[in-house]
Amino acid sequence: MFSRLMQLLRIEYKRTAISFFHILLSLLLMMVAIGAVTIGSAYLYYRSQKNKPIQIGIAVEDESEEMELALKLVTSMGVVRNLCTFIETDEEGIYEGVISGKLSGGIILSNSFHMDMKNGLNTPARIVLPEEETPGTGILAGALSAGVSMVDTVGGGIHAMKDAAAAYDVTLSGNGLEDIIMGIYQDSVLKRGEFFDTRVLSPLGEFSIYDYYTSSAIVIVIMLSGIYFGFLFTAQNRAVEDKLTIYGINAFYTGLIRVVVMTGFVFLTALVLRLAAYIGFSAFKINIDRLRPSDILCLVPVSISVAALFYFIFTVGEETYRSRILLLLIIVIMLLSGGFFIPIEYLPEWGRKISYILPAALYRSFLLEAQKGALRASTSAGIVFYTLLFFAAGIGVRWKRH
Amino acid sequence: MIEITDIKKSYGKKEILKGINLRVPPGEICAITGGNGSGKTTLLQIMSGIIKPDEGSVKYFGHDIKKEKDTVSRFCGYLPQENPLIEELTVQDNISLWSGKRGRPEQKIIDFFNLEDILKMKVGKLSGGMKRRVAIACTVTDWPSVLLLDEPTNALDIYYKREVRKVMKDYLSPGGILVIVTHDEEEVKMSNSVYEMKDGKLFCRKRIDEKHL
Repeated sequence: MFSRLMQLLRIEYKRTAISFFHILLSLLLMMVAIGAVTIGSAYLYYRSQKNKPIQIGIAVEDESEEMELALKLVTSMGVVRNLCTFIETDEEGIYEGVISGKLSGGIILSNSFHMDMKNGLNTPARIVLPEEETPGTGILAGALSAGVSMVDTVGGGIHAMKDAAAAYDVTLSGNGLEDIIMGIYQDSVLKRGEFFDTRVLSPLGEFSIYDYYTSSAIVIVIMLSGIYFGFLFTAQNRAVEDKLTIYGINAFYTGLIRVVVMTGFVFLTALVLRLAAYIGFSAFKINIDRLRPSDILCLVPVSISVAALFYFIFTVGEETYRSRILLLLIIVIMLLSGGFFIPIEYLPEWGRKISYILPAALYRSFLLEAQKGALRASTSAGIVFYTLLFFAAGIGVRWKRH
Repeated sequence: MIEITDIKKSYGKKEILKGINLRVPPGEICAITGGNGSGKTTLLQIMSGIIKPDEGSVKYFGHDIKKEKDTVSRFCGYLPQENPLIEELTVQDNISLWSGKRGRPEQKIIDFFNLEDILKMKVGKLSGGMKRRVAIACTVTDWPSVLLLDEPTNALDIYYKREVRKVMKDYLSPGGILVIVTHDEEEVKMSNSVYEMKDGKLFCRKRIDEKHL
């Protein structure tokens, strides 16, 4: 049995290689097209930073003119506008909005806010956040910490100036000091925009545009490459499989060999795309990270899982147009609901639910997390679960047919 | 000797085989005929160990295929209706799959099936008759005593049918057994015993001791 098993493995590799080279041109064209779209999208996205701003409610009880001006200044800043849309409401409106999910968060400022600030009192500002963390919460948290840091910087500058004045025994005029503080404040605020330029803060969380689009493109291409593996499941191959059972090579072994063979070629495809994306993104100066071994290694589990998926679909549908259409349909649904074209966060609730059930989004998450060295146990468990599920289901179908 | 005793097989509620009994002594060609869907292929698949019967036993030279798992691979060569060949690969690769040995096949096989000229050719480029010849060559790589052939000459023209029949006759060594599922009159004529499968049962139509080979 072992010698025949080894021969089968060699033969399946050989003929897949032959078929692979036959379809190499169309595969390359597909990769180039998807790569071009990916790089183009990432480039436009990166340059325009057209993130959908999160909705933040703001309740201001202080109706002083100064407060109004300060709010206008903050909300008109481009960097803030790109991230948040402030919706003026009252305290009750903020709570309702956050609970219903219409608002990603809320800020409630007291009626003495401006006076307290002016008098140097540590005035409270209440921040309202939803119970469960969302990407919007992350953005708000990031913006707030940036804002606090900004105020600290300004405060530090003022203290430094006062200390310097005291050291040199210089008297500072009260009215002039206000103007200087305002000037320093405005300068600091405007320069803070540079901080946001280095990395886009968006619903993608901590991942860069490069990471997101590369991972998405790899998943799209390797899933579409599955259509080419149909030749492994023809009627003649079933005759071969049937006959192999005489030698003890049952559905489990033939399934395993198919998955191993497909994994090799899926990995190869993913690897080529990963390298091409790296070179492409580097050329456009979008990528700021180096290619790490983890970027390559993380392709292996995803390739195995995708190969198991192909094995299942082709075993169910066999080498017919039906199975190819079935595969294509499943892939399209997975890609549409998996945030490959529209980020998951922008999908309606039911769309998100679908994306959580189907594995495509999981594959991308795995690639993203592994690249960042922040692989979650739940993501890894999901990959293992789907791989075993598809493989077992494929073998089950084959056995049942027998 | 092949001994088949009270084989039964159902798919869901449909009874395909309703207690099949058959004995084929060494040196015989046994033909099984019958209408489409009568269960001929199912019987041959049970005999080859591909599917398991619900009841009954199959023995080759006293060895039960249920109890001794390597019995079938030791004694039998099975040719399914569909050629078990991989079309994208060469004849040599296909033979190596079934022999479990890489490289050039045994010279005896090459000579017997006249494969020298087509050894490096892709199976997909061969004619129907040649493919069937290669499929039979793959079936006999271990020179088994028993050959189970499912419609070996189906869909071939007269020339290729003759060629395949000649291979079958030549192969039948003293003490060997050929079981053929067939619709072909010539194959029926050249058989020592002929059985017809009808309503899940096997009826003997001809039984002669003299060989027509």
